[in-house]
Amino acid sequence: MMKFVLKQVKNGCRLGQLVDLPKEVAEKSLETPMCMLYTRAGSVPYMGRDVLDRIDKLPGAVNMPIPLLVENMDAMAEFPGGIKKFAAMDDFMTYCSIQDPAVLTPSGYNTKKAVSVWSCHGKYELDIPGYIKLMSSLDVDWVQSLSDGDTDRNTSEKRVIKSVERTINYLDELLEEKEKHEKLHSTKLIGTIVGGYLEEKRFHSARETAKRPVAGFSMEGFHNFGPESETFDLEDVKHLLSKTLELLPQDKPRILPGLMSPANLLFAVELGFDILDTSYPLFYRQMKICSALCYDYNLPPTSTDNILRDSDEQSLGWEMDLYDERYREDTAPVVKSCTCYTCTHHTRAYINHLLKVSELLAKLLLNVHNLHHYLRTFEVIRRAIADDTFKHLKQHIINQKPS
Amino acid sequence: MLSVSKYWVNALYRKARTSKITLPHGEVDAPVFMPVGTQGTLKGLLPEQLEELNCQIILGNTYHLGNRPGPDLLEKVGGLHKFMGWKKSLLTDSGGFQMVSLLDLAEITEEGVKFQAPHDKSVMMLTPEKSIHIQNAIGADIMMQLDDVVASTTTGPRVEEAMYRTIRWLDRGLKANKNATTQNLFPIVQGGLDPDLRRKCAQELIKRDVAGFAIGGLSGGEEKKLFCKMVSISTDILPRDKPRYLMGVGFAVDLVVCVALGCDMFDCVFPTRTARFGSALVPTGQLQLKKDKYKKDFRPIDDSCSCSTCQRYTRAYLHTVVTREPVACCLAHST
Ligand SMILES: [Zn+2]
Ligand SMILES: [Zn+2]
Repeated sequence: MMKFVLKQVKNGCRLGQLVDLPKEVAEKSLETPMCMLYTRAGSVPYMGRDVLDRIDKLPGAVNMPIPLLVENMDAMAEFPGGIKKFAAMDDFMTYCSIQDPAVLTPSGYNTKKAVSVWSCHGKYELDIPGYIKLMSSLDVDWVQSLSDGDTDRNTSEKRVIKSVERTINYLDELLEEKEKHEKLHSTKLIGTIVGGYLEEKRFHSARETAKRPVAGFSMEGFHNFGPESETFDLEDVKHLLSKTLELLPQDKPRILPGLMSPANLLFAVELGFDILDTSYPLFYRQMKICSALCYDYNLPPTSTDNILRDSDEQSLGWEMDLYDERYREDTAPVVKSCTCYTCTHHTRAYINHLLKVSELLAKLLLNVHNLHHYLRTFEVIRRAIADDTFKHLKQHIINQKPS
Repeated sequence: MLSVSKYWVNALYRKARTSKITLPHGEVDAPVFMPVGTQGTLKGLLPEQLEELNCQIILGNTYHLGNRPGPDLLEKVGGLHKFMGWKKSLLTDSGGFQMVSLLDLAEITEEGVKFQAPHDKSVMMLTPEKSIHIQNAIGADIMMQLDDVVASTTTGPRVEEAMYRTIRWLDRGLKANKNATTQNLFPIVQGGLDPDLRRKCAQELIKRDVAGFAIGGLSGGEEKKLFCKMVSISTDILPRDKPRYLMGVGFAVDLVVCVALGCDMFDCVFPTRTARFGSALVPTGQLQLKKDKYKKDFRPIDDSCSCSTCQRYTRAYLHTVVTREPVACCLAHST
């Protein structure tokens, strides 16, 4: 049975690992801080398995958000082997989150009985019996408990209290129901901590959730995901978050969902979060991406990698817009020192051409690079924590923030 | 015959043959169906994936590539092969057919095809020389001459005029080819549905020192008997030891018949176009994966197919992603 092991805590940053997983999963990286692969209907956007497998050092965990799966509940229920096998992702540890971290969740549709999720064909209400049924057809490792995180900075206290109460009630009911189904014994629940921006409510949510037998925690209720998570500044709620996290047991993983900019992901790691996801590199700006991540994640004084960034790249900030005319004749790879499939096989000029003629391959190539870049960032972060250079790295990446 | 291409006929059954065409970027086993990569890419597939699907040659459209990225850039980066990262063979059309069919104002004179550029409405001229100039910049292993295309339903003197003009344009094209040692130029047999004109055209073309031939001016929409007769007349005259490309017909006709008539190369717009719209090819026809009946169909697209899509995914899963998620088109399956 899969477990989370916390190995080290350094200045708030946590180094850990998911252990006791099947061999084909354990061959991938299961070290934390990690970022789960973000998928839509079980696949990484624009990538079939044969392309995904061209990316090296894939994390061993994947998030399959529920809103993108509910429509096929019937088929999944009949398919032997659950969603992992259905989506040809059975060599990943799999988590299903209630909401899609990359897409804005419409506000105002949760009730005492049910949580609403939105597929592209409309609203699905998930109540306890329905969710139990869905969980058993999904047959995954972790499922987020139903939660009402529909709160933000402007939410009234009354509404925040309600969200905390509901979320705890859903969890209790699910834990009780789950016991009755033998098939669900291998599926663990992730508890959700909500409470908007109100300290007492959030602390209450954390304390109560921590008492329950959950496999880990997801920190929510600050925004409704999608673009709101991209502009959400973790620095603003640093104290609230760190005090809330203190209330959680050390030996369980903490998940922070949403589009994490390079700055936010570094703040999240520093606060002690363990698991994020790749919705930012794979989905940011609502799929209208023409840009490639190009921030330098190699620390100049300690780096053993070749720094091949030219002055041109240095001035670009975190990302470069490859649609820009300046790349028309640029035969350099996206990032010169990058070892991803895109950078070792294709040029900026080719991607610029593909973007201009609206060819699908442009998005695939960008996703391959951006995913690689983001995954490498996590690898570098883990190394930096171990080497005590995390603060340097954080400053180095944040310094590249476009003004 | 040019030295850059070798052609071996392995086996013959009446006029049908299997063969190996040796081109600057590798060998092509014929009969071959060439997928169309209009703008320097094939519908969301990596060049490497195409190779894994055993694709030995793809087709590029000179008209589109001439617009974007344009010959100047292609020349600068060393041709389309390098630009798109494609290591195998490449064939380009002349660009003329697209102009006539895509653009409103396309007037044909002895000089070339006059057309209005769609972006700035300026009047431009595609001449046989200009077509070769662009194709030289693209760097295809096989180039097509600019031909004077008339609809296969056209009759009367216009057909004859087009046929003779095509021959004159071939000679201009051959003269303009800067890369005669690395790029083959194929003449095109024209002559509409008139047997005499077809014969005359083919007889004239085979006098030129070229590595292979194309048969043009047929859409597959003609009466089947007539279509077959025109193909057969052409292949009767074309030398047996050189490849024959039946242009623009694709899956519109029974390709088995065309192979039996001695053709070696065909366009194949079909698989990628259909994958894009959510259907997949199987030996018995097409699967409309969007249809509800596949919702719980847990078989692969094709039981007998060894491609990575069929090895991994069921029809039911493809049904779930095919209409909604942008991954479907990347799930390559071809038959
Ligand atoms: Zn790269
Ligand atoms: Zn297949």
